[in-house]
Amino acid sequence: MRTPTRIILVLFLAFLVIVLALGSAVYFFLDKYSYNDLYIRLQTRAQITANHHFDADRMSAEAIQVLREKYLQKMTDEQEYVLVLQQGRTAPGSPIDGILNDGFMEAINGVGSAFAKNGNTFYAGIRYETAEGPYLVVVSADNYYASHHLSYLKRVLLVGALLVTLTSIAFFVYFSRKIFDPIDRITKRVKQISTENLHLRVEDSGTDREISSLINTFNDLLDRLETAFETQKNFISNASHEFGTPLTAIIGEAEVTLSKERAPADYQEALGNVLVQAERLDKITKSLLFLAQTGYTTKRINTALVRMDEVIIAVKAMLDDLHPKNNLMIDFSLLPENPKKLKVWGNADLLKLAIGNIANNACKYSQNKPVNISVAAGQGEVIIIVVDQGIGIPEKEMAFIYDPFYRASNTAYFDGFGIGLPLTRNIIRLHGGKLEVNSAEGKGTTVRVNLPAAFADATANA
Amino acid sequence: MARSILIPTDLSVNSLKTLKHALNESGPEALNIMLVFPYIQPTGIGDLLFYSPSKTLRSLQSDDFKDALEVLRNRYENKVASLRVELFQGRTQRALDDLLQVNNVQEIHLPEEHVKLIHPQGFDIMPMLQASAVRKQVHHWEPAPMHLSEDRLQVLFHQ
Repeated sequence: MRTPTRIILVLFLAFLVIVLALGSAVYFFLDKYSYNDLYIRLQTRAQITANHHFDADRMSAEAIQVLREKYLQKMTDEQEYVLVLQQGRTAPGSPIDGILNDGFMEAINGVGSAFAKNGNTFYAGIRYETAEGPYLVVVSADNYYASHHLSYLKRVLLVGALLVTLTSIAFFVYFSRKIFDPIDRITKRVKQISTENLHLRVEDSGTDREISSLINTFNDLLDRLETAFETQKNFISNASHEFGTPLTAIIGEAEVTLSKERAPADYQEALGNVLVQAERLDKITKSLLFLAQTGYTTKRINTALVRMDEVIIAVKAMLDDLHPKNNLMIDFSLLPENPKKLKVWGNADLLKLAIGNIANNACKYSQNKPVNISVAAGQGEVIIIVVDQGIGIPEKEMAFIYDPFYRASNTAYFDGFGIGLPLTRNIIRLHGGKLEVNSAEGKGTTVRVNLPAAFADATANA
Repeated sequence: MARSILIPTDLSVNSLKTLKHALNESGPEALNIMLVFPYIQPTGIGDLLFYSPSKTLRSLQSDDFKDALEVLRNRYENKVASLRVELFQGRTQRALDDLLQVNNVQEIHLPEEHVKLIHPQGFDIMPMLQASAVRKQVHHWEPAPMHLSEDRLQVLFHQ
């Protein structure tokens, strides 16, 4: 059974039980009350009857009769019986023999009053002592209240319960839809996401805190997955290139050497070359192993305290190696006095990769015009700003810059695969940071990275 | 004893460049810095009834402005004895002179005259500052070009 249906059913049943219990309780207590009330009224009437019947003072007896007819409402089918009691029993043959059983008589002789019921007719009897001896006075009446009002109440309660439960079903259905619709939407969206379109994310539309946190959790998971995937893709193309070059050199060297008979010196030289290439292969393998150890372990990235100014200096050195013509200028003018404020928890290699990507893009797309990279400490954050004077990003295309393999329309003359920025964003997100890109086409781009500082409240003396 | 200085601001990151230059060019002495925002209070009944200077200041400062203040505070940690932003609602020279005197301001640091720092809810305080008797120091800086995206934090890094 689907969860929404189950919830509706459980809620409905619980509600039904509560409504029925309430209705039954109301009916039960009212029913009991109406009987007690009726018996007391009958008993009072029996007393009045006896007074009227046996009172020696005829004047007051008549007055009682007048009062009774004038003010006491006649009850439905009201009947009075006055019977002589002999040794606690009535003479047989009276019209109410049927109810004068042992229990009734015992109560009459014991406490002096008794009640009985026969079908819809109710009886109240009292023992009345006179000079001639004891009498039994019984008044009977039909319980009009029970037979009419109570049955009306029963109908009202039943119809009410039915209406309330029907309304409640509608309410529960609406409620369960409201709860489960966002979950359904998330499920649908997540189903759409596969290895082909890992850049898709679940949109957070709601004001619902729990759903929002679920969506954020999904998106974080997707970030990590996407980063892992892209890293892997990058890795394979880079690795095959890195391994391919020395292997080609080794094979070429060996083929040329073996093509004819050579002097021992030639062989020595060839083997020397092969050794150099093999050593290079060995170095690559070792650094790969190192990367595997420092990068992704089984579950999460290895983190350590990283000083962001050092990362920037390393990035500058890396860029100088790769593109000696770059014009990257490090601006440390707003560096905090306390170096602790520049430290973040993170993976230095990943951060170098991320900042390196941003700096590399800035240099590439500005054709080696000056690029400023600055670092500063803000409110519990380390802020890195890269400003270039390059070609910028067309405003309409800003929305797509994080899509893998997306390249802006004005980048046709520049090398690239469109992987750097999405990868960078994912690395920054992994570190709990924020990446913000502002651009004006033809004027330049500003990239701002905010990373949470490791020591948010570091003081000068710390 | 820390020196007290006053710097006008329109709560833009741009205006903090005066502060940056002032800190950069001052000696090793610590500074009590008061950033003054000339503010015209709205005269609606609601604004008057529920007026709170601290709330007003908080709502007028952008995140980038606060970040920029923090960046400068971190950069000149040992030089900044205190740094606060104040509303100034006086419209007379007398009110400004009182403010300077009460806070024992020894120096006013200003941008060059052609730099206009006027917030939509503020007024131009420059003529009044120029007319005061306190020693003034003018710093040269150029507003950042617009492509640095209006008034974001990056403006502060621009020379």
